[in-house]
Amino acid sequence: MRRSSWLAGTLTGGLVLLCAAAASGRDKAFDDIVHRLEAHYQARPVRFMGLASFLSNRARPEGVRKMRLAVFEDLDPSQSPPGSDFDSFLQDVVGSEFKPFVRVLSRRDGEQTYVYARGAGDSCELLVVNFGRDEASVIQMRMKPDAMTDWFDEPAREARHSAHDAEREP
Amino acid sequence: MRISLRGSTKLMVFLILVWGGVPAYGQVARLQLNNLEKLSKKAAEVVDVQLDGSMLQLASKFLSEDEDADAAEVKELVKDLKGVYVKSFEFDKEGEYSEDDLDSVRAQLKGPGWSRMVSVISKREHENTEVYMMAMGSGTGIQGLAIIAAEPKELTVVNILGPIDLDKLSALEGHMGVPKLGLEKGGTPHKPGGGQNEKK
Repeated sequence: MRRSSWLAGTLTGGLVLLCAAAASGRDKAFDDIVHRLEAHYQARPVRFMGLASFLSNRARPEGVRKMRLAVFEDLDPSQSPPGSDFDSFLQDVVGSEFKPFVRVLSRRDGEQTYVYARGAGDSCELLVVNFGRDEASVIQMRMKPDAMTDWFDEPAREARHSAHDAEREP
Repeated sequence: MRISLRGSTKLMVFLILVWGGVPAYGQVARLQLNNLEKLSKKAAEVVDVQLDGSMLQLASKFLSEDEDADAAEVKELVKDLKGVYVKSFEFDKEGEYSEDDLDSVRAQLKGPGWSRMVSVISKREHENTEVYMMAMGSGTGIQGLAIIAAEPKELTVVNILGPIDLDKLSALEGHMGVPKLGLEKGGTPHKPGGGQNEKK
């Protein structure tokens, strides 16, 4: 009896560790991108929200189930976003699971938005990296299924909006 | 030197040759659009949408949540597609891109299997829309489609992989990153005030 409960405990513990490792692996892309931006801009995000901070519905943009967010503000406008290798850096970091979905470059607005996507159960997970003139943000969002309809209809518009919505103060 | 192959080796060589010579379904119609990247430096706005087969499956799943007829038609259209790739450039002034910039795309569309279905040139509006298709090996059905929509200050290239019903192609406009190109049934571009309509 004692042996079986020890076995059950060990298995449960192992499972928890495995889940934690898988979860941290999933979020590694987000962290790596944030670190890369910290190094590039020599700045720390002024707002950094992990999943736990986003339990409040008020703080979560519409259509988003879970979200992680890092916002860099007041960046030196003369310092351009990471160069042409950023595309390949992003693809390396996000791995093969995330697929490039939409990229919007706007010289008019001084903005660049990169969106990667992957299936996540009944929904979809999006990784959005946005550079403005003096701000940048990294957003990882698990979407509600119905919200994805808009993304597939007008990916460019949604890419722009999502970055702006997330950067707004809750 | 004489090389003799045993029956099983011959069969293996044959299979390798056949397998290697037949690209994965739909992939043969995939256009390389990387050469257009250089336009990103001149463009005021660039939109690049990439939906491969797995992303389209995902899209198809989410569209089913929607109940309107339009979404149902798009879902039906999308479910068998293998890819939708859109590159769109918007420029602040005319003359920022030239025909030469499109050479690499047109060269691919002159390759085997591709044929130009229709080209509509509107002299008044200075617009030019070309639709190309790649037929299935069997000759029935389409395995790929390409649209080049060129305006003085705007250039869009759309590449769709997989079987697509041309009569329903217009339903895809405004969805999956495909801009509104004014396509009519059968994939014919409609341009008000069109000056010349050449059909191949």
